[in-house]
Amino acid sequence: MEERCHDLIDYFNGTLSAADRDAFEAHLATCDDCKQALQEMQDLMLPIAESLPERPIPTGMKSRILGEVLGSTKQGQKPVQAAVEKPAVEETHLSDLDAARSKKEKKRSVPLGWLMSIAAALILSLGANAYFLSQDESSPAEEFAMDEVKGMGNFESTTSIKGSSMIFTKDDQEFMLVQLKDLPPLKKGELYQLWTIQGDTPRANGVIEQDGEAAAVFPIKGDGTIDAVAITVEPEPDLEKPTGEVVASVAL
Amino acid sequence: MHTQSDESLYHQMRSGDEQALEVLYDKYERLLFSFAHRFTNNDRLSEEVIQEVWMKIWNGRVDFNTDKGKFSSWILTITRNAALDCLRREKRQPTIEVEERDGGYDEPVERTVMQRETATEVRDAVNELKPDQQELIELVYFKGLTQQQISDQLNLPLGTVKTRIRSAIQALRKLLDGRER
Ligand SMILES: [Zn+2]
Repeated sequence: MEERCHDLIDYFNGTLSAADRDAFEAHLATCDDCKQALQEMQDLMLPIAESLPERPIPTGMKSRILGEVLGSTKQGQKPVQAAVEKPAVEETHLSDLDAARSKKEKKRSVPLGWLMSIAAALILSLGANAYFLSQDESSPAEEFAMDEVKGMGNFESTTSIKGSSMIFTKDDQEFMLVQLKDLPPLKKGELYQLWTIQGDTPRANGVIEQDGEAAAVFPIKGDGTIDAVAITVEPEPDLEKPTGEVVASVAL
Repeated sequence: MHTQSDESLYHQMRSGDEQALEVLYDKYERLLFSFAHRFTNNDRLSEEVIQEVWMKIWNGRVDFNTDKGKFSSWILTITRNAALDCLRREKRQPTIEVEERDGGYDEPVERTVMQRETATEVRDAVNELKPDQQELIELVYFKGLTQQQISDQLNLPLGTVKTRIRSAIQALRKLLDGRER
């Protein structure tokens, strides 16, 4: 066995430096022993995977993943834009692929983990109207329970905003959890208004009066399925209709 | 249309066919999820891993061709790499314990609980190996340790590690072959 042969496992596990990896690949071309051993390891991947017990798939995983991958927000943005009477962004005649690509590049995605890590702390303290906490307060490790998650997604923003929203029920009340970061600074007197959208109708449902980072849970007003959540900048809280443009939205 | 091979779906997908992406996604959803879960032991991280895999594939950051063997083995290799990266990343971060109950499942709750019980009874093939071989497979395949780390952890000379791993792999292969019949 040559010295290089010892790198097989590390090559398989991707822990070699670039130089060692290249050297090992050169070695592979000449060492049948390593080539065969590597092949055996790779061939086992499928039977190992197939032998594993099946796990229940988290609700909505497919739409979250494909939504992220395609960067698609088709269903969510239309009602939002109609509601605030903003002309849709100029229609361009790209192919679907190009459209998906450009959306993908524009998209600032936030891992869902970020949402989940903080959800626990917020949901534990449900009861009154809204709770805010900053990112650096650590979440308690206690278990928490929501009754049902109705929808979840990442915001698409025309500015720098990143974040996610989740609609869930607890004790027959619906709540909306939002987590946002990189909220641009507000001018004096301005605030971020959250809107829940049903069909074409927006309803003011929660206010955030800070920039930077924010996380909050709001009880949802009214009944019915929420199709999307949008954020505008407004001069006053809880107006009848949005007056500012949509700075971020998410289809649920 | 059901007879389309993974390989031809893959090429369609790479030319921008979203439907081909969805067909492939559906086909591999359960396999990839249980596979990723074997590494992360966590629903949320498994989902992140699978998202990373499809992002890479859709964006062409990884490329499949038939020289690389079967599509199924290839996508599992990509998933394994993403899962190991994820484990390494998580290790560097202080962990926040928000366990399993964060999402909800497609199945009703009672069924989920039942499935979990069954899952602990269904032993995966690795668990049928001899304990020292089990440990080696665990460290190599699912923890992605370096040969040096394995040698330190098991107190074995480097050279011995490699031969032992190989014989563990062969034993596992025999076991898995036996199951298929
Ligand atoms: Zn060799």
